[in-house]
Amino acid sequence: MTSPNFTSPKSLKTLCKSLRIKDENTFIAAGCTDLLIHLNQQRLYDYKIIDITHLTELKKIQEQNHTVTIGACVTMTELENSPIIARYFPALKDAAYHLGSKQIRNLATLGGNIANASQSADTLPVLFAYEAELEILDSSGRIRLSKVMDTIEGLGKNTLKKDEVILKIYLKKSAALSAFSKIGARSSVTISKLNACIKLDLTESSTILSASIYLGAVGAKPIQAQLIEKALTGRMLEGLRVDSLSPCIKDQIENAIPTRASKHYKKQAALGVMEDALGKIAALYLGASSEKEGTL
Amino acid sequence: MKNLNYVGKSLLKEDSRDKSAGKTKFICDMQREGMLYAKLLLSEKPHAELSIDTREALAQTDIIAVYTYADIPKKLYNSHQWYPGIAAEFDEYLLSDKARFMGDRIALVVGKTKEAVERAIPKVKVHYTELPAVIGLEAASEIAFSKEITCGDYEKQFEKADYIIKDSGCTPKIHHAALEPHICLSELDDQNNLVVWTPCQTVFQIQHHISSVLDLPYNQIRVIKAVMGGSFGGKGQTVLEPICAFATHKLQKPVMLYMDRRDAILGTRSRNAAKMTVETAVDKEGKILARKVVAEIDGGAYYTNAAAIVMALGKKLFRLYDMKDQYYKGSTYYTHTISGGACRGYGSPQAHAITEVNMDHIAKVLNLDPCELRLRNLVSSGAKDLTGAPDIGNAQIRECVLQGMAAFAWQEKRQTIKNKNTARYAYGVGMACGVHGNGYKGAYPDFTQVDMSLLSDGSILVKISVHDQGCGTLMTMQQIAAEALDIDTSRIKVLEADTFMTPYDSAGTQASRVTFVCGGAVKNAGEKLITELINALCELKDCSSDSVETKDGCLFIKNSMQHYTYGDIAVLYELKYSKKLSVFVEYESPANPASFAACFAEVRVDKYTGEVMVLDCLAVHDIGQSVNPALVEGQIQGGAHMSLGMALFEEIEIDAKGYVKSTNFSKYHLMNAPVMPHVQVLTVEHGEPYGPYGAKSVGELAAVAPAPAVVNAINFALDTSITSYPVTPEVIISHIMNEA
Repeated sequence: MTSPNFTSPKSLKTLCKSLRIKDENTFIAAGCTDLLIHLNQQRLYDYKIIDITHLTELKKIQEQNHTVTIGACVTMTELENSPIIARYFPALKDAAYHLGSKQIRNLATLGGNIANASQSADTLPVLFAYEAELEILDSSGRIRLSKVMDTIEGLGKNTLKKDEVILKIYLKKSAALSAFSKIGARSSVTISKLNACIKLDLTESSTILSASIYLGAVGAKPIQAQLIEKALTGRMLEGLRVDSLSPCIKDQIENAIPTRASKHYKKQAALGVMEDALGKIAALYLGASSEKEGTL
Repeated sequence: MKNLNYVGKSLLKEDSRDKSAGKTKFICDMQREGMLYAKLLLSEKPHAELSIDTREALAQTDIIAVYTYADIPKKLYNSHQWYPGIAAEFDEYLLSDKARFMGDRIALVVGKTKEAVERAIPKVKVHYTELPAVIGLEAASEIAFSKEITCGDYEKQFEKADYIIKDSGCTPKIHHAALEPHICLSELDDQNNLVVWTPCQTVFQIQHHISSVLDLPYNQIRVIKAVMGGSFGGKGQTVLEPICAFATHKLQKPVMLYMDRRDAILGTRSRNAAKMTVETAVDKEGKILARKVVAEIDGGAYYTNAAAIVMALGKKLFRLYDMKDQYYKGSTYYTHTISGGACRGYGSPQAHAITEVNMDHIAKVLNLDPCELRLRNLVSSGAKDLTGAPDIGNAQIRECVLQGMAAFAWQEKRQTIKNKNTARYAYGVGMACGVHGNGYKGAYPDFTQVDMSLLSDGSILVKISVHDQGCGTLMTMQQIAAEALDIDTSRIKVLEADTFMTPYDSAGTQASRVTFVCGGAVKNAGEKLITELINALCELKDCSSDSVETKDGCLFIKNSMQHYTYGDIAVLYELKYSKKLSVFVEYESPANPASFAACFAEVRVDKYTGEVMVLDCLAVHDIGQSVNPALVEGQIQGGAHMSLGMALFEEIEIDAKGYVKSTNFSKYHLMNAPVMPHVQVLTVEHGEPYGPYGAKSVGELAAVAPAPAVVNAINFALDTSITSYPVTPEVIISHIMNEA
């Protein structure tokens, strides 16, 4: 369907053509789960839409030798159900599963969650922890790569130029185990008040070689939890109790939001978020080791 | 009691299929030739003088009119006043002269399309000159209404008491969250009558307000209760209809006035926030000697229900526990916030929220089991209301507690639940009781009229001004009529309220009066009609009424082969006597007994995140007689949903300056399906003497006891003394921190 206010490009070439005439009233639409709210709240009526959901290559999850490529229009439901994602990036599967409601997840896309740059975005801590990269197209047809963490400014802002669009997300495959956890006003179908991705490289005996941890909703964009990373490194995952990390978890939140009234709650709540995520990783670790034993 | 054929059966209500298939037409689906759309512009400021420039908005394409205070009749009304006999402050205009809260009606934009209206609203230029705003009960000082209710001399008892246990707590302003935001449609009929379609609770109340504000006679105003997508009291007051009718009256065109969620939260009504202090005097044995309850109620910017909420809240305090001496004082204060209105339970949820937590506090001090403490003090069947209000009736609350204890395995759980505790999770069980009424008897005129006819094909037409809010009122009336008339419910049509078509009803579908009062009226009319029918047969066939039996729409003459359908007799009777078989009844409620409930809950509290999961919930209700068990179960589960939401999540957040923060469902948190526990339902059905077939109310009471049961369970789990609602994760964590 094409009208002066609505284009639905089926090739990158026609997409570039649309991007060339994109102005501040033109919006890129994929899942529309945030866009429609934005249009309603801002009372925007005279807008134009570039619908990118007809670009088939943006809807695929593809595995290469060292990377996995996720199209910008891949939905949360597709991420949640993908064996490739489950195998290499368990935290991303988790984050996709905990985002919004089933109805939202059926429509909401990974590209949209990135570009929308909400401080509560659920996939961002995961993409930060995996140092995901974006493939970005501009109206001239030029493609550039940029890290997700460099593209996100947070609070709804990103560094994409007016004529740019995210095409793909690249994630490096790794043997690390990871998990996502969040808390909101309710236990599900809720916007994160605090979320976290923990990614651990473990030895066979569960010693933590390195940790990459990002916390969301304690700043404009996810922050790296270096204190907690440091506290975890070198310790055994098995038998790890979150109480033993309590002081550094609290310090981490204090450092992130020293002036916010919500810090008192979040300091305590972060213990729960960390325990949940570490518990999930421990379960993955046990699953992985028993699988190994089974093959022996 | 004779065997019941229709009452007590879980019959499917007739609109179920269409509603579940999405076929039902709500007002937003209605279309009229030349219909205009209208939307209110609500104040963005809590308190301000206004200067409004409508020129730019009026110049927009397809905009027909923009009304402000300058355009409307300068006639004040009180949106709560359901008939002219009720004393009330008149302080609302159709469109306000100044902004008295964020959400006040300040302009109406009317256009040919919704899009035109939406585009024009931001073009209405409102200049606000801000004034200081009074926000919250702490700041409030201007009293709208205050009243004491007493029995005995509580002070004397306080001197004798072994213990006086005191608790203070707050309950929040709550949004009703009906799925359908407020809406109505007005038009002129062929005779130039003003016709208003509205999903409302009292058509005669709306007729009264339109008449008084527009200065039109009642008999030119036809208000029709439309299909409703939920109310819970939120559509009880007259908010949209008069201004919509005004637009139609001015423009001589059909007008649909609609709201979105933000409007419905800001610009309608809320459950009144309350602060209560409860002091209870008890002796060592756990007998309550006396109680003093002081309630301060946030009435919001307009008078609306300032008096009603004080009375409704206070009266419940005298009908649950047996104590001779009690003092209550309730005061409603003006603030620059959303006005109060009916909300499922009308004062009972607030009252019990604090008093039932106080009961557990007493139990803790006396080292008594909370159920045991209650059993020593609950009212029994035949109890009197010592304030002089109508008798309490066949109170079966003790039975509710006893059955609940057994079904919930209360004692075992109370003793062993903490064995499940871990470093992170604390478990607890708690319970609470609640009481609610059955109409207005004793306070206001409480009667209804029924026009019931037997038609020539044997079917029955019942005209009565009921308003089905989606809970199955019509099916309830059909079942009661079917029982009285001994004919299948499918042959009975019950109309909904329509000021031109259905006869007068004194008080509307509110106050938990419909099953008890309107149901009683239908039973009474049905009994009269079946008597007329039997007499007609006797006259026609020269037999005695003793020899006549009815069965499923047929009449049998004993010891003969003769039998007739109801329709046969209707036709024969009309032919021979030139009369129609019909009755007109004006039925005044004979009583106003209490309905009771006991609720039991098990919770798991996450001491890290503050999250509370309700793992198990059992509600035991004393309802006299279930008319339709499936509908009763639905009411109790839906009521529990609202009450659990009040316990854990729901609050219209208003900041210190008066700005409302929770204007949509991502910020106003309802209990959603994943966190909603399965609510088990038990009913105690020992018959209420004056209720139709023994039935009494359930729908409002269902929203009372679950909240304090959950808070008691949390306090038991954490050994805290939380008394304010909602108990959000932040509240849990701050209590854990403070008490550590």
